[in-house]
Amino acid sequence: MLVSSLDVKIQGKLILSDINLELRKGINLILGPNGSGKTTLLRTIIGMIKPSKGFISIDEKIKSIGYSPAEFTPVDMRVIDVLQAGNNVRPLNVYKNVLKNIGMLNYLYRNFSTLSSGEKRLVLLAKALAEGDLVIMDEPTSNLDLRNQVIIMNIISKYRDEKDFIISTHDLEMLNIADTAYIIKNGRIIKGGNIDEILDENLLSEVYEVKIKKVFIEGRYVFLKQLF
Amino acid sequence: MNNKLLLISILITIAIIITFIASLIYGSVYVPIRYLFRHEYPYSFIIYQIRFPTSISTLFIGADLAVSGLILQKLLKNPLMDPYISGTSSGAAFGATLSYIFLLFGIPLAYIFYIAPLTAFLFASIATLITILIGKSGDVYRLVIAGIAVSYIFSSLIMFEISILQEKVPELPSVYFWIFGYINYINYTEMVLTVVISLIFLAFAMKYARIIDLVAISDEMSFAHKVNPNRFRLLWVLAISLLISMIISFTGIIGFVGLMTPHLVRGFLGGRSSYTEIPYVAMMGGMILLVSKIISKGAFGFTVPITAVTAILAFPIIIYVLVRRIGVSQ
Repeated sequence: MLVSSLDVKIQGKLILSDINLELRKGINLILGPNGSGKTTLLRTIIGMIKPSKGFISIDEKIKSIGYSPAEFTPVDMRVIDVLQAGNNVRPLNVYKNVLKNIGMLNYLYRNFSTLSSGEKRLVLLAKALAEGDLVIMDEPTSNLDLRNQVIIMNIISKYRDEKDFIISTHDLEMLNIADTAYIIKNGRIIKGGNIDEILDENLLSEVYEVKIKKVFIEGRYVFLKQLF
Repeated sequence: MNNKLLLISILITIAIIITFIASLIYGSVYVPIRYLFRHEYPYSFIIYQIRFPTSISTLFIGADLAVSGLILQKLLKNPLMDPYISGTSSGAAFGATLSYIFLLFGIPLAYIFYIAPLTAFLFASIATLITILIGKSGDVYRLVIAGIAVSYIFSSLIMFEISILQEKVPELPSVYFWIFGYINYINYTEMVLTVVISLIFLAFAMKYARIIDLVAISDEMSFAHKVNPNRFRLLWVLAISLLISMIISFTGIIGFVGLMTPHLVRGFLGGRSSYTEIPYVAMMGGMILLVSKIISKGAFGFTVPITAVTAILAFPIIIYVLVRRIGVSQ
């Protein structure tokens, strides 16, 4: 997928400027602090916002997009009804399979509105995974407890060969499972492509405006932020 | 269909049949039940020429109002919406009464009956869109308050219209009919029209039920399914405005049926997909409006406007929604 010299204005204000991305197979990360324009970029990719300049071209092999939003309505219906909402609906078994993989098969007939916020996110994630060749996730791990964060990282890794992912996040831990990553700040791509280039302490510290130290431990990176 | 749904369907059907028979018996004249099966003037005339088509129409109008309420609640993500709160009904009633102004310019009454639905539709759409525009960026209450304000403005304008027109157009139904709703007499031709339009509306509601669910959950997810949620909302607002502008000329403004029925149905069904909810909401809405009509037409010895009855029925449900649903989600 190609995003080429994209400008996006919302109410006359330039939110994204000159965005160029080349998203490849596997897990693509859009990394950046809050308010950097990540959600706007994802919304532009799905056609919710029209760019004022530039274009987006999606590969022909991608027939459907699954989207798990950062914010949604906690509707009063069962999980199975949420999964089958829309016009791009798969056979029930496809959803059951994904639910099984995240250990939530027994949630099928529970009321969506009564689930915890983490469980709701997982249900919408399962829907996106079941429906999309391309899966777009907006902040999938924010506001989740540690266990659900681990479940989400595992499930994304599990489907990485079958599906392509575009994931917006400010969670540096996600770099451990990503294939490519772009750093976005104030509506511009600061750095992008190779993971090794992103794993630069100075760069990350500058982007997040806090001193960050990376530690390699048990086969993965852990990021420490300096307090005070 | 599992046993619980089957049981609920049977109970609602029985309740509708009982209500329907009651609606043939009760009215400004009480007709003993034995005349249902006897051809004796004037009773058989009252039952089969007046009350039968009126009651059938009432069932379908109730279904329309209730399902409109369900759709507006889901699409606008607001559990207190219905065509009354959204300003649609008041706009339609204003538009319908406005068409009588043409009488002052020498256009015959026969034409007014064709002009009225058009002006009703125009103002129903305008009123609803004003409400949505004001209430768009805000919480649940902002949209409700916007709708109530719009309703009041159009209701006031109706009062002006009627005082201006009253002397010149005695055929114009009274201000109480327009503002508080009153089902008097719907003939067979109008009944057929009502039934056909209602069935088309309900069929479309069922066809798009799963998309209504998706738009209720998230705009982004809708776009991912290649549905533009704003366009989808606009189309439904226009469809409901069209439906209400037909209903309004038979009933005046009827409130709260659309607000209360979906919550009532969820009370014993549990929250479900719109696809499952719509048939029950339609049946229940029809029954509630028919019960309201029986009470409004004097079953207890006095006649009152329909909305006076529906408002009382809806009151406990509004309190429930305010305390339980909105209270919990915020």
